[in-house]
Order: sequence, then structure tokens, then C-alpha cells
Amino acid sequence: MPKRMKKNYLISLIAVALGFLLLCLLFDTGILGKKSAYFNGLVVIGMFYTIIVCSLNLLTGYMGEFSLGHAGFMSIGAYASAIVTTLIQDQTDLPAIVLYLIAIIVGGLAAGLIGVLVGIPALRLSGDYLCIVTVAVAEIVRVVLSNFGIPAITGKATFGKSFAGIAKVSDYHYVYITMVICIFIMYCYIRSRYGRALIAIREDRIAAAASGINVTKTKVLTFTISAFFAGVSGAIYAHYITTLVPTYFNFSKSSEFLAIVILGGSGSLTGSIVAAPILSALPQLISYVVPAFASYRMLIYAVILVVVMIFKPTGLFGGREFSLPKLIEKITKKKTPKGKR
Amino acid sequence: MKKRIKTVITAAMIAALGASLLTGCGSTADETASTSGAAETSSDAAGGDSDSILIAGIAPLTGSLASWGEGAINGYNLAIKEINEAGGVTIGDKTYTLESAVFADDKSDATEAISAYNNCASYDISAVIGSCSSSCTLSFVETAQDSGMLVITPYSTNATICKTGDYIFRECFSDADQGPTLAKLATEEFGAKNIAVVAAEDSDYCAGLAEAMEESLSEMSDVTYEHYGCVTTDTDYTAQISKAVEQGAEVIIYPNNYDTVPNFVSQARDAGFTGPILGGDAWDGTDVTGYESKFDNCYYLAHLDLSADTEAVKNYVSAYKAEYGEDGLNAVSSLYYDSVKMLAQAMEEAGSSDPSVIKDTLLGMKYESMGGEITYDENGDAKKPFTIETFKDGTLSYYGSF
Amino acid sequence: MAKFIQSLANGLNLGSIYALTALGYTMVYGIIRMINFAHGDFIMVGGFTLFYVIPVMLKLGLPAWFAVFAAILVCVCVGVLTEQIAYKPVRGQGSTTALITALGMSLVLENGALVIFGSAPRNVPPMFDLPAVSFGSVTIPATTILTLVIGLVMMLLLTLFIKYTKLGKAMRAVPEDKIASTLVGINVNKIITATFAIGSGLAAVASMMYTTSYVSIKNELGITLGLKAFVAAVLGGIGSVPGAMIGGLLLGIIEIMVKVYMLPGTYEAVTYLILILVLLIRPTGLMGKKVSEKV
Repeated sequence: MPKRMKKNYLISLIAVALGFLLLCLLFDTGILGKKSAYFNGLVVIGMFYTIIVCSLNLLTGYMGEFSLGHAGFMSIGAYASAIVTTLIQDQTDLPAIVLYLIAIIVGGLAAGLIGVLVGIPALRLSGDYLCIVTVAVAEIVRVVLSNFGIPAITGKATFGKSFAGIAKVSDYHYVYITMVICIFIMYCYIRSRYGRALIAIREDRIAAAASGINVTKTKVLTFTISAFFAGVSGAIYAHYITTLVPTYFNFSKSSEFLAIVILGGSGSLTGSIVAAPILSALPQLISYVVPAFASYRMLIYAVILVVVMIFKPTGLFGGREFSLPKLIEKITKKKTPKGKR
Repeated sequence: MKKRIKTVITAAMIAALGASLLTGCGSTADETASTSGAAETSSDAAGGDSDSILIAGIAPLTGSLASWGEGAINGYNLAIKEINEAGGVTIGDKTYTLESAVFADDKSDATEAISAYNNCASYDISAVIGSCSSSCTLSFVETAQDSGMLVITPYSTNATICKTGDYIFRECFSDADQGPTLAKLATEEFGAKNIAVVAAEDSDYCAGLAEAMEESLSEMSDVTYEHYGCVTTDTDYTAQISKAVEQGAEVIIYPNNYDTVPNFVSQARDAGFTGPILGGDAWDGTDVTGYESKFDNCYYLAHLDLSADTEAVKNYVSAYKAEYGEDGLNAVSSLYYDSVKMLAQAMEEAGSSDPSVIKDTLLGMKYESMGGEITYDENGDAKKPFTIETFKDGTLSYYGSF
Repeated sequence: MAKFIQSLANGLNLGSIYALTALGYTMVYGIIRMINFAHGDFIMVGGFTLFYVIPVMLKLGLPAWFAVFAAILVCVCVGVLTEQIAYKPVRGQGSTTALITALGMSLVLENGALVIFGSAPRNVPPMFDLPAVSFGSVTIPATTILTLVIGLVMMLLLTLFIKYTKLGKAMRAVPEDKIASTLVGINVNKIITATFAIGSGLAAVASMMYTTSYVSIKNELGITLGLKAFVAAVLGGIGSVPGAMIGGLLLGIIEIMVKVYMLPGTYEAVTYLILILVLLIRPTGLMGKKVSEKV
């Protein structure tokens, strides 16, 4: 078994490295010419969507609760990291990678902190009510960011208006590695003791509590981790887009994230990994070719969402994980021994 | 425990691999930078051989400010067509046709604006004309400045935009000028001593304009004013209006985007406020259908008057109507039109389609726009006259100018 | 004092729109325990119907407000269709599926309207030509009084309907015990459809009231309005008709008062803060019944 696991890790690692090399090949060799900036942007967008969608999937798929306020956590990460890096940048001239690392850590921690503060009281609720509380939290964050200015902090911009002039350090090399690490951590978390407890809670909260699982603690921990990665995603966003507008992080954005999670398959990280880049970058790519497509984009999503709900409520991957090693095994050996995993 | 160690080791391996690849790619990136630079110059040479100059445009073609985009793209295309019909752009002793590489949609959303800009920049263009809302334009000007891309914004008036750098220009006035003018309009033209300001806090344009205006109001010793905030998504202004009425305001200034103006004006009139309501240039495109009488005594600062009796405006209006009909014939369309024409003139005067040359020419240039003569200050901020528009029985008409 | 009374009147105006919208939420939630996110968008549909039908009514020489009947018709159709096409198939799949479907339908309506009507805001022509009423320094538009009266009448009618008619009694029976109500001969599916029809009809009336106060409509108006109305429904106690009315009026007054006496831009934060506090302290709202969890 350990040998097999080692092999599995190796295969995944190779796949990740190949993905990285492919990106390098596409963008660093300049074969795309002047178009590379545009496609580069699409890739970065796809990557931060992947992180936030996976983080939301932790809640939706594994905890069985909905958050319609993930854009709020994303905005906290974005603003917190942007304030800190702008302050640092004014004082010293750090290399991009250091600034980037500071940004994602600060963004994640800030969002995680708010996650704890919200999670402890809010997770007493569940289902529809919890969902509405997350909406409320995100809206409050948006209103606060829109109204209360802390102009003196950065000396560059105030809230309420665009927060411009953020260092553009979200290079796709870094973002790719961040994404891989984030997904890896989330994957490990799900496979850990806490993750298994979480799934137990999802299946039957009362039975799980009866068998000695600390329900509240597990839920709050998951909520915090989810918020943390939403914050990381926000930090990447901020340092890619360089201008923050509070109105961007609205209810529609949150519903878009949730829609992607559901379409990819709640309870399947690989589903999110496949769905997020496709559903975030592909529409832009299509509207690049066919401009009229832009206004139909969300309509198509919405119709697909409803149709999926009616015919396959579990989404594209339906709670299963796609596994590259297994696929390779299938192709090479044709037959896997039955009754064994 | 063993498993955890393995986990950590794997994570470390990923990190190490990533780092090694990163440094590897870093060096290749440096190498390729020079080669891609060479590719660029060769394509430049190819551009020199071909007979066209490419430009690109950005506007909100969809989204809540789509009425602007509708006019914008038409004005932009009309200008290109007219320039080419007149023989194109003459640089040195060679004439080029002006071509639009792409006209991108920013949906009046800052994130979309970045994508739209990247889309534009992926072509070999000389300049970007765009965008409308200040938040959108602000989102990409820094990138544009860093990569040496000439940006002429036809309609974003936020004061900070052109301070970003020397590649950023505008065809409209700046809020640093519009604010004081609006204050002057309220106090001098309408003799108001008591003013209420209702401005959206979450928009660069609204907040910036209100700030500039209040700064000059506060310098007037005999004028009192109150500021009431709102947000761009508001529909109910009864609270702000009732406070303004209570305060005894003679004039209400509402420097917000056109899509919220009908709600505001009709609520103000319903609440019994009959005094003048003033707005900024973003009132352009306001729909007054069904509420014509309520829009009496409303005024806003505009870039030009489309019913003006000048040759340029009349020609433009008839050409626009012949090409596209009445739809989208607003000030924004004329600003996009003028921006393209001004760019063409700058290219001819500079004798080059290179952004780094055009930008210096623009600074010292004079351009006769439909709204009056434009000159530039050292920031690239346009200095141009203000027009005041009002509504007469629901139709837009000229009131005066500053 | 004048300021307070004026604000109270403004708050009641806004509040009665919230209340009427919240009634639709409450009825649906009361019966099938589902947040119908699309309810706010029904109001948008009603608004666009009014926009197109009012000129026709005027041309026919009829009073403009007759258009509301067309709006009711369209909204009921849209509501029932939504229920039949999207919600009915997922019934019994669990609350999470229902929630996502509702969200999906909301997005469908919103973006469908974007494709059909475009994103430009439209002015709905005035339906009532009534003078403002002044008491001293307080000016109350007649539409405010009208809105309030319509809201109260609607609530009264609905309460009577639920209390005394056969259909209304069946509506109360279904959420109590679905199986038992089937046993006594209630067609649960029919009741649910009827609920949606009534809720959507109320949305059409709400859209009339909305557009008399807020003349400009666009495809996105349902989002915020729907969320606010939901807050109102929760505040009053979701599932309770008088609760929705009281919650709506209260929310309207609170929002206006915050705008008048505190920072105007922050009123939404206060609204949502109230929601969170209500949910945490008294999840059943002001008038709701307590439901204990079954193991």
C-alpha cells in the first residue's frame, strides 16, 4: 500500500510539473507573441477561481453547508493583502516573490480570522439560515468597504473608491504553485481525521456527535480553512488586477462561485479543479472570438445549473474524485483487481 | 505519523520542484525576452510595410451603463470611417488607413476592464481609446503606463487618472475642473447659499467629483452645504431628499451616473422639492420618458451640446444619423469620435504612429473638438470649455456655457 | 419632529413594498420550506410587463393602472411555470438541491431579462396622477399613502383567505403534515402550485407599488429587493403572514431612519446585521413558531 501511494504521489507530481512546463512553454517562450498577455491573464483568472471554488467546495461538498458569501471572504483577503503590500512597498523595495508571499499569507490570515469570528456564532445554524447569514456577512463587508475610508493608511487611495496602484506581483508561476499547494493542503485536510469527521457530520450530525466528534469545532475549523483559502484567492486577485472596487464582490459573484462548485460536483475537488478554469476562462475566451456571447454567458450557466439540478443533482463529477494514477492503471493494465482499492 | 511525514516531504518536493522550475524559467524568460523583442521589431517592420495603423477601443457595451457604450462604439467607428474616406492618416509622405483592431466590452466592471485592456493590448496597436466609467479606466491605466501604451479616455473624468503617467490622456475635462465649475454653477448662476449634495460613496467618479466640488464650496464663505452619501445601487433617496428639504437647500447637486437619475429626480419632485437639481457630465443619456415635467429645472454640465448650431456638430449629427439612426446619439458618442480624430491629428503632427512620440506631440497640441478647443496641461489633462444642458419638456437643450 | 414623521412616512412606503414581497417568500417557505430566490425576479418581470403594457392601456383609453392586471397574469404564469418546470422535479431531493435550483432560477430570470430587455434602465410611465399631501412641513406623496393602503388591504385579504377558505385551510395543513394532508384528500401538488400563483400575483402588485415609487427599473432589481424582502420575512418570522407584513414595515422604517439619523451609505450593513442578530438570538423571528429538531 505505501508503495502504491508513493507511486500515486509521483504520478500526480509529474502531472503537476507537466502542467507547469506547459504554461512556461506557452508564455515564456513567446510563441503566443503579443497575445500572451491576454491568455496569461485568462490563466491567472482560472487559477484564482480554482482556489476559491475548491475552498467553497470544502463547505458545500464535505460539510454539506452553503456559503453564498464567499465573495465577502475573498474581498477581505484582497483588501487586507493590498493594504499591507502597499504599505511595505512604500517603505522598502522587496522582490516580487517576497511581496507575493506576504500578500497571500496576509490575505489568507485576515479572511481566516474573520472566518473564525463569523463561524463561531453562525455555525450554530445550518442549512438555509446559515446560507443567509453568509450572504449577510458578505453584504456587510461590501457595505463597509464601500463606505468607511481609511485613506491615511496607504496614502494612495481610499475605500469606497477604487483602491488602485497595488503591486502587480501575481505572476502565473507563483500562482500556479500556490494553487497546487492550496489544493494539496485541502486534499490532505479532507483525508485527515478532521476531514473524515466532517463527512460523518455531513451524513448524520447527531450520530457523529454521539460517537464523540466535536461537531462545532470541526465545523468552525473547516469554515476557517475555507475562508483562509478564499482570502488567498482574493490576495492573488488583488495583486493581479491591481485595482480593487468593492462593488465587484457582490452577491452575484458569490452565486457564481457556488454555481461553479455545484456544476463541477459538490464533494469532488477534482470536479472543481476541472470546472473552475473552464467556467471562468472559457466564456471570456469565447467572447474574445464571438463578442455577442458575453450577454448570454450567465444565462447559459443558469440554465445548465437548473438542468443539472433536475437531472443530476450531484453535479458533473458527482462526489467522485478523478484520479490520474487510476486512469493510468486502467489504461496500462486494462483490468483492476476487484474488491481492492 | 509516518503518513504525516510523507505529506510534509511531498509538499516540500512540490515546493522545491516549483522553485527550481521557476528559476529555470526565469532565465529562459530573460533569454526569450530579447527574442520576443526582436519578433516585435520585425512585426513593426511588417507594420511599416502594410498600409494600416491599428487602434482599439473599450466601452461598456453591456451592463448598467450600456447606453454609453452603444454611442461610444458608433462614434468610434464613424470617426475611423470618416478619416479613411478623407484619405487616411498621412505620416511623413506615406498615407495609412486607420483600422480598429478590436472594440472591447468592459461591462462597467473593473475586472472586465482589465481583460478588455489585455485583449486590446494583444494587438499591435498605437493607442487605446477608452473607457467610460472612471473605475474601469483606473483599473488598467497603470498597466498601460508601464507597458508604454497610449491611452486616451474619452469620458473618464476622475482627477487621478491622468496623473498616472505621461502615456495617459483624456478627451474630456477632469473632475478637478468639473467640481469647481459645478460649484460655480450652483452659487453664481442659481445664486444658492444653501446647497445639498447627494453623491455615491462607492464610485470613483461620483465621490471624486463631489470631493472636488465640496472643496471649492467650502472656500466660499457665504455658502453652506451638506453632504449626504448614497451608494450606486440605491433606489430610495427619500431620506437624503427629506434631509435636504429640511436643511432648506435651494439647490440639490446629484453628481451620479445617469441610470439612477430618473429615480432621484422623481422622488425629489414628489417630496416637494422644486428648486434646481444639478448634475455632472455622467447625466448624459438620462431617460426622461414619462417624467418630462419633473425634469424641469434640472441642469447638468456637459461636454458639448448636440443641438448646437455649429458646422462641426451639425455635420457630426447628420453623419451619425445617416449611419446609425438616432440610437446612442449622445455626448459619449461624440467624445469617442473626437478622441479618434484627435489621435489621428496627433499622429500626423508627430509624423509617427509610435506612442512614445505621439504622447509628446499631444501635450503641445491644440485640437478643435465639437465642444470647443482642447489643450493639455503637463499631466495630460484636457482643458476645454463646459456646456450646461437642461431639459425643456423632456428634450435636452442648451442652457449656457462656462 | 417633522423630520421624524416625514421619515416614518418614507419608511412605511419602502416598508410596504418589502412587506408585500416578503409575503410571497413567507407563503412559499411556509409550505415547502424553500427559499424562493427567484421571487425578487418575479417583481422585475412584473415591472417590465408594466413598462410595456401601460402605453397600450393608455392607447386603449383605459386608466394606466389597469396594466397591473396584465402584470398579475404574466407574473402568475412565470411563477407557476417556474414551479412546474424547475421546482417540482427537485422536490424531495433535499433542501440543498431546492436552494440551488431556486438560485439557478433566479439567475435564469435575471439573465433572461438581460438578453430580452437589455441592461439599460427603463422608466415605467406614471400610473397614478395624485397630488402630494402636506401637513405643515411634512409632505407625503399620495402614492405613499396608496402603497400603504394597498399593502394593508392585501395582507388583510390574504389573512382572511388563509383563515377561512378551503384552499387557505389546505395551505395551512400541508406544512403541518404532508402525508396526513394527503390522507384527508388534499392534493399537495395543487396546493403548492396555488401558493406559487398567489405569491407571484402578490409580486405583480408589489411591482406596481415599486414602480410608482422607484420609476426606473432594470433586470437586476430583483436581487437586492429579494434579499431585503427575505430579511423582512425572517425578521417577522418566516412562514407567518402578519409577521411578513410587520417585518417588512419595520425593515423599511429602520432603513430610512438609519439613512436619516446615521451614515446614509451604511443602511444595508445595519439591515444585514439585524438579520444576523435575529437569526442567532431568535431564529423564529418576531411572530414565528418554534420548531424543534426531530432525531
